[in-house]
Amino acid sequence: MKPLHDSTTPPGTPDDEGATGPRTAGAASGAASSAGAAAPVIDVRGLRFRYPGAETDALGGLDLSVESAEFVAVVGANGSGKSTLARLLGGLETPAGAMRAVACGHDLLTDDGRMAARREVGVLFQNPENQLVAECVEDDVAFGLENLAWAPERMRARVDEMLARFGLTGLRDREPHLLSGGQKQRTALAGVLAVPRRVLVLDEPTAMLDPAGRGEVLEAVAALRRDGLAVVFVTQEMDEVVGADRVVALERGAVVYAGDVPGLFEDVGLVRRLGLGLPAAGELALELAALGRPLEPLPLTLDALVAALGASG
Amino acid sequence: MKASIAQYYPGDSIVHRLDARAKFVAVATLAVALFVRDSFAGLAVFASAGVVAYGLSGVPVAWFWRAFRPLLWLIGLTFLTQLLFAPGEPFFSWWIFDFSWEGLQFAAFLSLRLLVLVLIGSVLTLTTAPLALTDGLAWLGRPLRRLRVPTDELALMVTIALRFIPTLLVELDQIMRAQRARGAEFGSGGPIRRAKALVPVLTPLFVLSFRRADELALAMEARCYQPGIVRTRLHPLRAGMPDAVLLAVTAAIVVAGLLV
Repeated sequence: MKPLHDSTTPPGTPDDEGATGPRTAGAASGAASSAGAAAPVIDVRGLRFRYPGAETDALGGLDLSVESAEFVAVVGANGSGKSTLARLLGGLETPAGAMRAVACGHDLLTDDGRMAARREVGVLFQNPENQLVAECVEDDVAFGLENLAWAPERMRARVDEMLARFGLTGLRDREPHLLSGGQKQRTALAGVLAVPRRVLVLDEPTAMLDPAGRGEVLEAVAALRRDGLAVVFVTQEMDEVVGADRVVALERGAVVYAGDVPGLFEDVGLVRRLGLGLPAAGELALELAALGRPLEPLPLTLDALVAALGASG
Repeated sequence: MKASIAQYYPGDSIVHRLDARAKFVAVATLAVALFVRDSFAGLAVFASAGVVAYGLSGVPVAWFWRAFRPLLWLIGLTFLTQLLFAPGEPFFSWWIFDFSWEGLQFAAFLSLRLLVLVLIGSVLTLTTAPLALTDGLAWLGRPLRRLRVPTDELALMVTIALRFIPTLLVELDQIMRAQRARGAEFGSGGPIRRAKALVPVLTPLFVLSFRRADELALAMEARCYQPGIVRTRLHPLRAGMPDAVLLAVTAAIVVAGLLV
């Protein structure tokens, strides 16, 4: 087992400088197994998982590779295995098998490896209400550090840092049930990241929030990305996919697309089959095309749509 | 809503700032002494200690009264039963009841003792946050770990329960409104009918709670929780000079109360 990541390093310190993932459109990409310092933070090959009592595999031989500081969106319909993948990457479930399943250098196929992975791969879940353990915001942010037995002074400093970073300083004594949805999810995020992380897995973190709360959480995630934390963003909101470095689409527990974002949305047939839809600007552009005003390439953001309309006169 | 769950009154008095463990030990010691001593003089000593502590806490009387009022029934009932059934030379008889001076005295003593006990106990619960009290009890219960009693886990359980009570109340309200919208009626009809009306409310509440427990357990594991691990706390319990003084004063009161 590799030595544990130094817990004093702030999350998102890019220790694999200069590594950018290969961008191949088409079927399962899977990074070439690079050796040495540039090893991907997530390196999974042929990952299988089946829930107890289920007839079929929730994941049937899935490949995924995430470089440090990379932002990878994972999309798919309900039941496609997205949440299962999120839990497996966080060391929270035991894989049924895999050719290789490594997170931050820890082997997810062993008990020790999963325990170690839990320290470096943070997982934020969908329902903010069911993630908050403590009676007030700051105690909740501290929960992970308490579990890792940090000294109180060091913990105090780290918690204050996290509260400030996620705009929670003024709410530190607030009880969870008095927080808005966005505030709850930011508290949960601060709690996940209080433990120094190298990878953050987000499992539909905005699905249960109102538009304001969604904006708060996405803003916080964007800031983390600028800091260079590797992010795996599981979502059904196509507008949240647009800014990602890479997107992986799942169908019935298998990867059906891995590559850049425009590449996925070019294959409208695949997108429809997966039950996903396009970003709002893309849907609008398709409507325009149907009316005899095709735009190339397909705009995925409002800005791109406006620009394309301007260019085409 | 908070007040109805725990009667804790947030404040910054000298009593509030004392360590939960010291307060608990002091109250437990006084309670034992209270039951060992059976004279009005001793009772007076413990009562004055309780009154002084309550005075120092700065908790408004109205707040105390609200928590205390339900207990008046218990105290009243104690008084009546002792008065009617205590042995002694009757000075007055009515129907099957005999009233004696001894009975009157005994009843008064027992109810006053109960009153003082409630007062002293209240000072603890009024001035100590439930969380601090839980942590304090977990610390005091540490020797039990040798007997494999999972004290820290129990403390965490209580903490989580306290945290989710308001959430459950909100959920309960939502379910009841949803059932009313479907024609359910609560609070009408006989007791059996009323109890039956609760089934469609409690069933979804339980189902939701089990799902919640699953998700919460996962989120806790994701933040490196494992049963049986040694945890540190963001707010460690800190006992200092004032707590030592409290214990010394308590000892003095106990001695005084037992000797007078």
